[in-house]
Amino acid sequence: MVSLKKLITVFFLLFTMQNVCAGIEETEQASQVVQGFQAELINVMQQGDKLTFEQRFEQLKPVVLKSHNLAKITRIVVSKEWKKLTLEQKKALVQKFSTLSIASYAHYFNSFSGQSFRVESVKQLSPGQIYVHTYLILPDDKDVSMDYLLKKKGDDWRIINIITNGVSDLALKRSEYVAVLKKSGFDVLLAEISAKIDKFSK
Amino acid sequence: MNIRLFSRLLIVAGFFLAVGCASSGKVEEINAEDPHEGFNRSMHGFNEKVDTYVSSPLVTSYQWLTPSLLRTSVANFFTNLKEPRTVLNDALQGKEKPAGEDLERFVINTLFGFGGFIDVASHADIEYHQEDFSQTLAVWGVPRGQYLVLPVLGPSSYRGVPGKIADAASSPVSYAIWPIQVLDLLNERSNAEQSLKFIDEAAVDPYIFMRASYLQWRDHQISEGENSAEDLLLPELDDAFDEEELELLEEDLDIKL
Repeated sequence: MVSLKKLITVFFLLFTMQNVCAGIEETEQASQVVQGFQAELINVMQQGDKLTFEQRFEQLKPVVLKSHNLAKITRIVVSKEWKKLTLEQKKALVQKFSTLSIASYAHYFNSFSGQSFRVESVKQLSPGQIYVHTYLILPDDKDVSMDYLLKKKGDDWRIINIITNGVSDLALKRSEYVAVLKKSGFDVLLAEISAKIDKFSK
Repeated sequence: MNIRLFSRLLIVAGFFLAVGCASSGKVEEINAEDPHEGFNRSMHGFNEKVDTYVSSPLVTSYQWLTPSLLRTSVANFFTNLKEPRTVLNDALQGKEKPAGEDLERFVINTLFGFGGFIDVASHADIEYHQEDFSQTLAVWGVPRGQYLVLPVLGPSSYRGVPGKIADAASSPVSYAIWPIQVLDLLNERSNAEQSLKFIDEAAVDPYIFMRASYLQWRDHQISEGENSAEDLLLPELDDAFDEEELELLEEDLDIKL
């Protein structure tokens, strides 16, 4: 007859294994989101010469929307100022910020000279947050550390922050946007973002 | 950079800082993150003007007059000339392996790279490290102190000032004839071209963009690639989000250029 102690041990092991497997599955899912996004970036870069800025923008739009949580990123970069905005302002800001994010990818990832991405490690920071550490490999230069912080949205994982060579995009934008909102107000921030989109498109 | 010139710049910065503090009669809200913001913004503006009217035209001429290969060789030469300083800082920080690699780089590039003009060591996959006295002070536990923008030299901090003095004192370029020093400055500004272009394109507020990215990047260098949890896990990530509102905002997205 199986003793109660053994039964508890088996139950405990099964429970632990289930949690470990679920953890591995989640990190794998998050890693796939990043790899899928990076594969599309490389794809767009490889077509760089043939595509205009507008075409790169349109090609990247669905991929960025699917892999990033742009509404939440917008909410975070304006920090406590979010509560002071009206619903119309929030809509306008999310729209403008999303356009800026896609435009910046379309602007910077515009040509290919043998670059590639490599996933170095994936770790769960907390139950709802996963960190994917990757490198952008440049053929004639030092590799660029490009890390992604993902948060769970429903059943999916979405990118919420990108850290390039130690510089957190979320922290950087939060510093800038909060300062502009406090100093000059919402309309100036929106106008500044529009000016950046224009600059990227030229 | 010439030590005398560097010292003069620091004296000018100190003077402006003292005058700025003494003459501001009205009470202004002080940003706890950046108490010298007023002075720093003035210096940032001053540096931008120097760059627009002096450095940038000189660098454009330099780039127009010299072929890319020559500019790369000049950059290699100055990088190699500063390698002994890197080795010294590696040693002061107790980094044995990087110290060995940097010393190896210096010997190989000096002997087989025609005095450093050709970066043979990189072709031999010997890793290049960036170390300076500010990083050494940080490793020794000296706190960073407040953010400072120095005239002409740009972003720094309380800890960065003695670091920069020691860097200038330990650089052979400081003791070279002035044309070599000018060439070094042109080379450094030329190397920074892409970063400055990036700031111009991406920054909504260039001063804050520069401050935030500089401080994070230095932390990253000092911690040998470990990202600061403070910058990574912003407190806003744990905010109670109105998920329904965010869903609604995302659903309504109609993104057009």
